[in-house]
Amino acid sequence: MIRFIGSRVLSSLATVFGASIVAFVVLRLLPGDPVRLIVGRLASQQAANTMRQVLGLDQPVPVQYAHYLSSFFRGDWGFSYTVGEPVTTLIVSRLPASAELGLAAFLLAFGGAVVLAPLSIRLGWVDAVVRGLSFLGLGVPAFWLALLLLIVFSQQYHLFPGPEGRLSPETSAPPALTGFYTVDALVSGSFATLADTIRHLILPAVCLAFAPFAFLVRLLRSNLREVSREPFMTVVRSKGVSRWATLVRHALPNAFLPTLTAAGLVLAELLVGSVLIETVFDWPGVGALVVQSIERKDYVVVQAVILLSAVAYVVINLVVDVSYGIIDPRVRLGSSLK
Amino acid sequence: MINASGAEDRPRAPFESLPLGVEGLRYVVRAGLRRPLLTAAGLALLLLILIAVLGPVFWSVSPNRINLLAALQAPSASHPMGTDEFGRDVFARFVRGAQISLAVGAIVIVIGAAWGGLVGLLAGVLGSWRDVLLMRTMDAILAFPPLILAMAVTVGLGTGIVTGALGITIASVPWYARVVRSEVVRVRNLPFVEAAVAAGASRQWILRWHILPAVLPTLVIQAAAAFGYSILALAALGFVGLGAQIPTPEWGAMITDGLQYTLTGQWWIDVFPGLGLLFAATAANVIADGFRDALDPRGEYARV
Amino acid sequence: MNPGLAETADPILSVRALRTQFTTRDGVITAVRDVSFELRAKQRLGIVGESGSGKSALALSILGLIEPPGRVVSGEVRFRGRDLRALSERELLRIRGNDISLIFQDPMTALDPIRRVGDQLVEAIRAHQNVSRSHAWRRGVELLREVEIPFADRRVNDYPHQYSGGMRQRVMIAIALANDPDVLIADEPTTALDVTTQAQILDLLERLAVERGAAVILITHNLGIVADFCDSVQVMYAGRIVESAPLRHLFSHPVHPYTEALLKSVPRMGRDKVGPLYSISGRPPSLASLPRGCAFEPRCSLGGGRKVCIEDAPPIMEWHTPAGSVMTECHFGADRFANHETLLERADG
Repeated sequence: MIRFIGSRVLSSLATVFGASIVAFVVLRLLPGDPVRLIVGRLASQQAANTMRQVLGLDQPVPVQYAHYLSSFFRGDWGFSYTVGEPVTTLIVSRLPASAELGLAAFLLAFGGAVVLAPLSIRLGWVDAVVRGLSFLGLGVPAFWLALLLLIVFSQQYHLFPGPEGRLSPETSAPPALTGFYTVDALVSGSFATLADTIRHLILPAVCLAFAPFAFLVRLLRSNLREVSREPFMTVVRSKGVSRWATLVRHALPNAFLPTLTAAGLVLAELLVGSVLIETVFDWPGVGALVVQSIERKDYVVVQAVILLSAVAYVVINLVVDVSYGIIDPRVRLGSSLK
Repeated sequence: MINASGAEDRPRAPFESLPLGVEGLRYVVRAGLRRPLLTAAGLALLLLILIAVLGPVFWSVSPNRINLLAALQAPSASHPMGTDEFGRDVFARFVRGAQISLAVGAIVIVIGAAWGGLVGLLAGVLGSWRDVLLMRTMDAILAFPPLILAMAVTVGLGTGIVTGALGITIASVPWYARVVRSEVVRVRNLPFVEAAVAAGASRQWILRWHILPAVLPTLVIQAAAAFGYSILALAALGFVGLGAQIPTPEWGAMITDGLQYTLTGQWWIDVFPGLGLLFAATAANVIADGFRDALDPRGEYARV
Repeated sequence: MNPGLAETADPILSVRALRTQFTTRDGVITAVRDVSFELRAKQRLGIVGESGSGKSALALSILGLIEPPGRVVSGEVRFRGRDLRALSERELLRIRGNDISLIFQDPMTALDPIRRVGDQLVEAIRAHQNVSRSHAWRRGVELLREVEIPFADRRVNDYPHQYSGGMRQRVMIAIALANDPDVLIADEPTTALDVTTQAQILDLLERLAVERGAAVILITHNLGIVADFCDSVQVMYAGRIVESAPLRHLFSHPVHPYTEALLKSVPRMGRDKVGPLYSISGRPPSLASLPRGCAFEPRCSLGGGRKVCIEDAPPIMEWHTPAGSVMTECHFGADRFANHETLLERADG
């Protein structure tokens, strides 16, 4: 077991290093002279050289990489000259917004898959609907869907708020505890704020959840099908257990395990923030930050976000892998024939 | 042993799974006729391709011709999809957008599959440290959210469709590599490959007759599945302004262009490109599914 | 146990003209072709046949466990007079695992890998007995003891992969016997096990069946096991029962050429003659395209090519002997039954 965890941790570390190299390489391709971007075109050469020294850009490339890597892990992600804040503070302040949205979308997608996949195995019409939805989910452009939903549900029917971010302009954020407005509102007892938060979460979460839902439900359905063909399923039914109970008690847990890994990947992608949805809904998250930073040519931020998302992905993957090892009794206990 | 649905479990040789040549084609067609959804998707995609290819032949309006007097007109006989804020005919732009999306999508999957397939093949065949190195590199690329990686590439190399396509391709390579490598490893470990080696078969022979026939369908399936995604990814890049640039009528960019007008009632500028994307990507996914079913080596259960 | 009871009591299980088909892309396969037989209380019936003869499909058909693309097309399965085929799924649930139990062939894949053995026993018990979980759990431990699993109280918490093949088969037996069924159908219960374990499992099965007064249908391709365990035997070929007889009679006076060939194929120790082992030439027919006449004809030792064998389905014949009834399906059945020259060579002959 220890060896299992250990090997996974090691390979994750290797991936992180690899990712950092990729990020570093990609960003060296950035256009223009970062020094000039900061000091401006009219500054003197001397000022530019000083800045270059400050930024460490006069060092040889491997040294720059080492510096880049070490400062990343120390939490020093640079300074955003367009916003006027350390990048770390900037990203951290926007992370909860993305995470809350991502988590909400994940719950919708995963929950939907877990409920609909078994039903689609047993009921023909549910299967047809689910199949249709899953094809659509993977084929519809998320940002376009967001627009459509906004037009229909917000503009036309006034059921949901428009693209105004996490809260209505007149509502103030709950006292910050976790940064998750839902949790904070609940904890501080302001149910009006909670309701407002949820109303603002629904449309973007649904848009964001559609594609992952499509992916997960197809995977779970196919895994359920496969497990249902296993001999032990017939054995359970021969005991006199109903079809439905067999499906839920035996097929679903067994099908869950391979789906769990994929679900972890999905979660990792969602938590890091969706560029498209956040842009459409004016959501103050990390994804929107990336787009804005690119527009403002604030590449320091872009650099940090890229590597951060890769690291987050690897870490979450690691957690999922290890959880799999803990949940699956065959891995957890090993085979100890007595 | 027979399991409850009557099928016998036995190991299948890899070339049993892919009928090559004419037989394979006939087989695919037969399978397709049994599935109306698949046929519908195929026809939809075909229609889009026809529009893209033949559109300019029959519709001579230029996608870039500005006519401010005719701005923001709803769909009519002279402008089947209306006009945008510069009076440009949306249908003409739609056609050009179709050309862009379909062509780029095709190029991206072909190049991605070629590269990814090669990497996976090398990793699986060569094994040992080369395998580890190659796959670790793939893992490193996979760690990045594909859209953000593509965005980074466009930022680094300059915006535009070409760099956008490049970014998407790079992000897709690891998928092919993984899937191909696992097929190669699976086939490599089949008992009868061991037997073939023992009987004196050369590496090239095994490669040609055992590994490739197993790898190709996997690659095709993956590429088909990636087509829809590539189209959407390109559109996403266009939407955030990093892919196609003004005045290129790429579908994603068109949606951004029409954003403010859609919310005030001129829906046609956004809806049509979106529908184009929806149909293209969904049809592609349905077809990819069909490919998977037709080439699936374990699909021996009847569709009753 | 009397070898071969006279048929006085009503049969507990009576199968009539059971037909099960599978629709695959190779065509329609009729795995069970109008099979009829009867099982009396406490009887030990052996069903013998090669792989692909339809034996497993028969077992599943009886309990209504055939899944698409398979289907039980016609026939009757009467348990204590009630036709199981006419029952709803809910009513069938009460019979499965309770009145009729199934023991499966491959113990390695027969248990849910992510549930503890105890839980799987409890599931079997609580499906039919309205008892608390803890009571069911204790009963489960008792059952494990009955099937001779050592340290049952500890091992009940283990997962299937922590058990050996033989132990898993014992668990299967425990599950099957959890509710004291009247009929036990054991589908190749020892095929996947080594010889020593085979003997142990069979002994266990015999003891428990006797203790509980259950009837047993033992499905196997191994004639040796049948000789040890059963009191009457049925031989299946290409989905049909081609011979049925009390044990002794089958072994000493096989009527159907297939049975005779099967018996001849079993190598015997202590023969004076040295020569090639006998094996039945040819292969079993494809169940998707069966001939009009006798399915065994291409391989039959009676001299192939006889017109009546090729064209007409062989008639069913039955005789009553003091030991029990004998049935066969062969155009030449009557001759062969009467003709003592079909006696097998004795070991000393």
